[in-house]
Amino acid sequence: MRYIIIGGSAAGVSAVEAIRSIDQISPIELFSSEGTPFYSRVLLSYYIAGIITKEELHFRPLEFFSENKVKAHLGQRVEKVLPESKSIRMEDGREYPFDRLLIASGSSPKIMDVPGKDKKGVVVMRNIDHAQEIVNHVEEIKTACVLGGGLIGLRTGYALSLRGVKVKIIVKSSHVLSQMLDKESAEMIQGTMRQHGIDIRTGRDAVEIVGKESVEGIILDDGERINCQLVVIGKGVQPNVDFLSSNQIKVNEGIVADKTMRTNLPDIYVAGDVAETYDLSTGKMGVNAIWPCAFEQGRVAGLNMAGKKVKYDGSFRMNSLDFYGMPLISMGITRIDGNQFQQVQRKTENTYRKLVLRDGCIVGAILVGQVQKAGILTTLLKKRVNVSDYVPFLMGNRINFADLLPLMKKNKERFAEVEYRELSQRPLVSRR
Amino acid sequence: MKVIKVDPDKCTQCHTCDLWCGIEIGSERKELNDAIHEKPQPVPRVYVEGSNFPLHCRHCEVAPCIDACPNGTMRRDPTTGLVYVYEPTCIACWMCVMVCPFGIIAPSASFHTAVKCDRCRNMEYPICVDVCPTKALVLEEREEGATWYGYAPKRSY
Repeated sequence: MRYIIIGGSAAGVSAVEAIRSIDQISPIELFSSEGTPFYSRVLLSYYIAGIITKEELHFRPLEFFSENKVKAHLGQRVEKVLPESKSIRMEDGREYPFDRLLIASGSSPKIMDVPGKDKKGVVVMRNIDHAQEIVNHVEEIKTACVLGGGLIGLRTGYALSLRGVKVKIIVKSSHVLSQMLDKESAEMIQGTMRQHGIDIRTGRDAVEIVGKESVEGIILDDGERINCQLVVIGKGVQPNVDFLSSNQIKVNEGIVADKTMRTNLPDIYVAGDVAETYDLSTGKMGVNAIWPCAFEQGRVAGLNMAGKKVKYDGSFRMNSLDFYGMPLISMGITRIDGNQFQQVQRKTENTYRKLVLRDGCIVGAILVGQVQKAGILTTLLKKRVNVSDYVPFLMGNRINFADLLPLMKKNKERFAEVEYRELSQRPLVSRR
Repeated sequence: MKVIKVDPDKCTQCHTCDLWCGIEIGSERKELNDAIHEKPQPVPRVYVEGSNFPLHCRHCEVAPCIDACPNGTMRRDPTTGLVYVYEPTCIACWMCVMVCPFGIIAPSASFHTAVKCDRCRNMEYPICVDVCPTKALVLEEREEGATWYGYAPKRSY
C-alpha cells in the first residue's frame, strides 16, 4: 500500500498518526507547499504578540516524520491530482503514484479586491511567513489597520495592540465576528477592546490603500483617510482546490466528503479546511475550517485509508478566544432566522450566555466571561441530545456533568464510549 | 489503564477529596494552613458535583482535548496513557475547555493555564482515592474493548 498525503498541518499529521496506528510498514509520502513543518496556524497571533517563540509554534516535534517513517517533501507544490492514473504530478513534472490519497491541502485567505492591495506593508495573515513579515517590521509600525472583523483579523489586531501598535479595525458589518457572535456578545468584546485602545469602526469599508511603494494609509468609504504603516487583510478563508484540475472530484464550497471522509472517487480521501462535511448544527453540508475538526477528520480519513471502517458524525463551527482576560466561546448557529429556533439568553455585567435550540437540541451557544464547562454544551450539540427538560440547568452556574447522568442514560446509545459507561457503573472493589 | 471510578451511593459530600487535591496537587506548600493563604488560591482538580458525584478527568481513550490543543500542551503519557497538561507551553487559549465532554478542565485566569486532573501520575496513588473516608473513590482497571472508534491510538502528544 502506498499512501500519499497532500498537506502537512493538523489534518495531515493526524492522518499519519492514524495510519501508523494500524499500518507501520507501508510507505507514506507527504507533500506540503510550505517549508516549515508542524507549526500551529492558530497560534501565529501569539507569536506576533511575543507570547510564544517561533519554536513554541510547533505542535509536534521535528522528528515526527522520521519517527513515523514518513517521506516528507516540504516546500513542494502539487500541481495536479490525476485520478485516472492514481498519481499526483508536481510542478517540476515528476509524478508519484498512490494507492490511497489524502487531500488535506487546507485553505487560503480570500483576497480582497481593493486598489493598492499589492503595496508593501499589506499582508494577509495565514502562514508563518506572513507572521514573520509583521514581526520583522513591528518596531517601525505606529498604526495598523485591520480590514475585516473576522477571527484572524481580530486576533492579529489584538496581538499588534499588545506590542504597542495603535490598531484600527475596519468592519463592514454592524459588529465584529459576525459569523460567530450575536450583537450582545460582540458588543461586549468590542467594549473590552475599545477600553484597551483598539479603535473599531463598524459599518465601514476601505475603498483604497494609498502610498507610493509602501502603505501610507487607507481611505474609507466615507472619505476619511487613516494613516498607517501596515494593513492586515482578514476577510476569511477559502479551500485550496486549484490543483484538482480534473472535475472528477466533486467540489461545492470544499471537496465533498462522505461519512468515511472519502471523496466521490475511490481511494481518494479529504480532511481539514479543504473538506466539506455534514454540519451537525445546520444539518447541511458545509466547510468548518477549524483546528479540532481538522484533527478529527484527519484521524477518521487515516483510519479508513488503512482499512478500518470508521464513521465521521459531522462537524460544526466552534471557537475559543480570550482578549484581555475576557474569555469567549462560541459554537454552531448563533444568529437565528426563522421560527424553527428557540433561544435563551442571560446577561450580567461581565458575562453572557446564550443557547440556541432546534427541536429541543442545542444547535448553537455563546459564552462570554464564564466559559468553564463549555465542553458539556459542545458534547450535547455533537451528540444531538434532546435537552428540553434541562434548559434552565444548562443556562445556570450549576451546570455540571454529574447532574446530566440521567440524560446520558436515557440516550445511552449515543454515549457508548467507555469513558461515559464507566460513570454509571459501580466500582467492583467498592461493592465488595 | 487504571482510572478512578466513583460509587455515588458511598459519597457523603464531605469534600475531603477536593480539599486534599487542592493541598497536595494544587498548592505550593502542601500544608493546609499554608495552602489556604496562598495567592493565587490553589485549584483542586476534582469536583464534587450534583449531590454526591466526585468527578475527575476521565482520561478519554481518544481525547478531544488533545485533538483541540493547538500546540501539543495537552499530552498523553505514553507509558500510562494518562492525559496531562504540560504547563510551560500552555497559552491559555481554552480550546480544551471548549471540547471537554465532562467540563473538568478549569480555565484558570490566575495561573494562566488549563488546570485538570492527571490522576496524580507522578505519585504512587491518587490522593483523592487515598483520603476518601467512605471508599466512594476507587482506582480500577479500565475495561478492555470498545473505545471511540473501536481502538485507541498510542501516542505521546
